Amino acid sequence: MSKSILITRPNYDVTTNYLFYWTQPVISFSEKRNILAYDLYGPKTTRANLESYTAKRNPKIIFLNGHGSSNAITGQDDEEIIACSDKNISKYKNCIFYARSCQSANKLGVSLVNNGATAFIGYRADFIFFRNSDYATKPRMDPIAKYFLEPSNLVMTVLLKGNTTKVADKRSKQSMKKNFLKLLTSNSSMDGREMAPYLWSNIKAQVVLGNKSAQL
Amino acid sequence: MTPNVDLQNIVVERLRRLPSHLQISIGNSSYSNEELVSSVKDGTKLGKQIMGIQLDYLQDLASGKIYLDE
Repeated sequence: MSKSILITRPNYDVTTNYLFYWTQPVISFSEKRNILAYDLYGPKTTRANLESYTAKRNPKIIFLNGHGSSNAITGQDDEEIIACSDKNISKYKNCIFYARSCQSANKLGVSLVNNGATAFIGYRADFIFFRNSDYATKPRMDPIAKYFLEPSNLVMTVLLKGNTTKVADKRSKQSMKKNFLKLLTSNSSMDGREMAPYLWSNIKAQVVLGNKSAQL
Repeated sequence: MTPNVDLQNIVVERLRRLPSHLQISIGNSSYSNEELVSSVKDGTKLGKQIMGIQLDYLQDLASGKIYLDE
């Protein structure tokens, strides 16, 4: 059976709209490497679809985008699509997760790993990004959001290359750190320097739970 | 002045340096710079979160932690 990944990317407010468009390069990268990407986008981002695709398609990696909390991650229109309280959370056994959402490493990630998921990469605090409001209709072109979202995509692309969860986390953090230092340099604009604390927060919040040697 | 008021003033001044065309996505919402400033001044949950992020950053900047490799 060929390797596959499953992606959720709701699109119903400005934050999810940005995550939606910034996930596209990961899908393209996956296709280039002949790794099947099941794409649950927009209204398709439902609990029913996530559970059904996981059960039937057996994806090795699940990449979740959307709003989150310590206990859950949501899909389209704030529907809770995966939560600590799920009775059947062990259905995600052997999956590697990357959750680009707020706080979900605190409890949801722990619960998934304790119930058989191989690993969970996520954030213990809010995942934060700045954006330039002039780019609201073309998020992928936003040079401000790029500082925050491009390094987070690296978690996935490094995993798709067959590297371990530990390496994916490290490379992503190295990229964030590089951007962070760029923002801090004297050549950087004033607005750049003032965004640096928030990128620093993302660096400190990103963690790997479970098997750090896990790979696709 | 209590340390918290000092920090609040520092954070507000730093936020004011952000240009108005920037918005921040944090938690389940997106905020303008003005909204961030108000939240810090009013001591809301968001404001306290912003102050926590700034304090953490300033401490790591002062300790040199931000220049260390992992």
